[in-house]
Amino acid sequence: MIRGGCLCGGVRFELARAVGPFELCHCPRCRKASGSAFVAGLGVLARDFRLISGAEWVRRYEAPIREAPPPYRTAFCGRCGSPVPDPPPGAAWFELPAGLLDDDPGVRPERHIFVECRSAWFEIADALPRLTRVELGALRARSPRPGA
Amino acid sequence: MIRGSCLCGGVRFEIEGRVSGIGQCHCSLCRKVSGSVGDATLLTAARSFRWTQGEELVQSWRRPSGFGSHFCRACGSPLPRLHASGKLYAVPAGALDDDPGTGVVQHIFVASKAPWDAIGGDAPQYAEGPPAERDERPGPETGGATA
Repeated sequence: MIRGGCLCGGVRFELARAVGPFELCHCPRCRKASGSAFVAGLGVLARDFRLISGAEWVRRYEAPIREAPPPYRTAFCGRCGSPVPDPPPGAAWFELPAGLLDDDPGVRPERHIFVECRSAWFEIADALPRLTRVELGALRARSPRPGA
Repeated sequence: MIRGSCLCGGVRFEIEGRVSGIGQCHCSLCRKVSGSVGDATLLTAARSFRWTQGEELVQSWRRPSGFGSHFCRACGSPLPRLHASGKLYAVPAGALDDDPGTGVVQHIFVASKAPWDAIGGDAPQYAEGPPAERDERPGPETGGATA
């Protein structure tokens, strides 16, 4: 079992496994949501996820749609501010912030995405593939995410 | 002038003056604050920092140890905090809208980094804290640039 939680421990969850993909997103919205260079988004199946505690702490924010749906959504702990997992109703698959994990999910990051809008102060220095939004769209068309 | 804001745009700030290089902390607490590999923070003198909108939206939480988080109560984005000394602001680099003119100059607490975190680049890596207390030494000592 893979455990995780927010900074204050109000929100706790566990995963039976992580199916991926595991992607590092450099888009401006993910940078602001994380306060860092990228969000580490780990793909999981909704049926592998269980919220143990803290539903009452979860606050949500939905950013205005820029170009096309779906809107950018984020969820965070209303007490400590950590991003928290928030499976969309009815979705078979979703992404959660990997920084919340207390255990090793086993899978590793597969690619950087939205690299065309990465921050000026961060240099990508690993050997992972670097995909632009357009390249990511082509990848998603070839190989849809689980449950997509 | 370096501007910054949260995801919802409710909180905005400006830095006018020198900023340090960016330090990335990979400890388990900073991972939870960011949801990512850890935080990425630059420092600036308190006199160089100014909230321009929404300071009342800044919410904070503190562990008994003193480690805390500062975030927008509307969207959850990590936000700048005043250092305990009252002399410095620690600013999450991800909140910046402008190029701070500096890059990542050090990685700290890499001994406790996530197993999936592959730190790249040439910046020095420290197993725990930096060799000297970073918060006390803004500017050139931390590889700082001018803004």
